[in-house]
Amino acid sequence: MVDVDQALIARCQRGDAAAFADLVAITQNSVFNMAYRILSNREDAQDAAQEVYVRVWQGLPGYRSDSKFSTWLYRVTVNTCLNRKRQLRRELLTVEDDAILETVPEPSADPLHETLRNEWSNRIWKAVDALSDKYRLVITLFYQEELSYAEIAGLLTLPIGTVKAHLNRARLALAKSLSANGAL
Amino acid sequence: MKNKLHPTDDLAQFIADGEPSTIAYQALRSHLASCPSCQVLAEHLRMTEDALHSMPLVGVSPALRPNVAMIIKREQASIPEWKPFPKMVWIPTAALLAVTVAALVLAPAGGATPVPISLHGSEVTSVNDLISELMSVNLNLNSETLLTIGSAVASILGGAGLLWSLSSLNADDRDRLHDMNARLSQGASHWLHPKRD
Ligand SMILES: [Zn+2]
Repeated sequence: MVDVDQALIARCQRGDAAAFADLVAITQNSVFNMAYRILSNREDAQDAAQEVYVRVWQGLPGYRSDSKFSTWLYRVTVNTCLNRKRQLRRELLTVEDDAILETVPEPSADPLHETLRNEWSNRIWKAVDALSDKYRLVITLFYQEELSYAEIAGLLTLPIGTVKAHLNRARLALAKSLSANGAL
Repeated sequence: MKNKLHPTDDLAQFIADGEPSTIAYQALRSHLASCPSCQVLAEHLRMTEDALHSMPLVGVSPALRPNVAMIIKREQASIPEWKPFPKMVWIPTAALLAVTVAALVLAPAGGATPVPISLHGSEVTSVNDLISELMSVNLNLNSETLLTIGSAVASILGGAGLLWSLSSLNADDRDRLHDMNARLSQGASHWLHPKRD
């Protein structure tokens, strides 16, 4: 996520709607994409992103700059999405055994992925969409938002070991989707 | 994955971070050298890693920004900025209340009991005793009369101040009074009919 200038945050805290529009412009890519990856639907992602920004607007007067703004925004986004997928909170606590890897996700046709880098990447990106919610969530936070294991663990209130285990399950499931599709 | 034959979890962690999660690096290397299935998996994990690092973003809905701006604008309009009640109104009102409370507190418990005057040197027991003391004059008043006069004077002054304040309210003050009235009515109706909303 792009770093948000403290001066811009201060203007937003004083109720400056134009400054808040700038803040939305700077951060909307991350917020919308995170919501899209978790909710896997554009309409739901847009609703969630709107809710995130309303909550941020309402919460800004109480926001203290001793914590990173992006961390706070991630937390609001993840919590807003998890509230819409309540079972996902419980699922995140469970580390699956090997069986999960036998159910290799079947990539679905997705018109959103128009800019394909190459065939294999495209297969993997589609396979990400077909992963179960919790794997999509950790993959998005780690690879797209480039958060560290510790940051993801803090955000989802999970032990680092659980975060690593989820990521490894997701990586292996995606790699196996290549085998299933006849790569190499 | 805790695979008994193939250290797949370690392999995934190794491809992503450059180090295995549970077994030693050398043990993983030697397994990899002798296991064709893990060699294929390692290659697929590398391709996966490359693809994940270049995962494209989905385009943000163009309606997001205007929608958020509209919601924020509506929020700002629905919560009027709270301003304190106009000073011109609350100062005389508070004065009137203070005088009334003071009169009630200072009134002797007996209320109508006449109190003798000429109390120099004797115990002071009521408001008119105190005033008599201070003025060093003999007043033929009892506490009830004094309280009535005091309250009347305070009421006239407070009432006049209140009238003057209300007559000189500007449009902004009137809006605030209207807003306060609306809030009070809303609160009262909510309290009286809690299930209506
Ligand atoms: Zn092996």
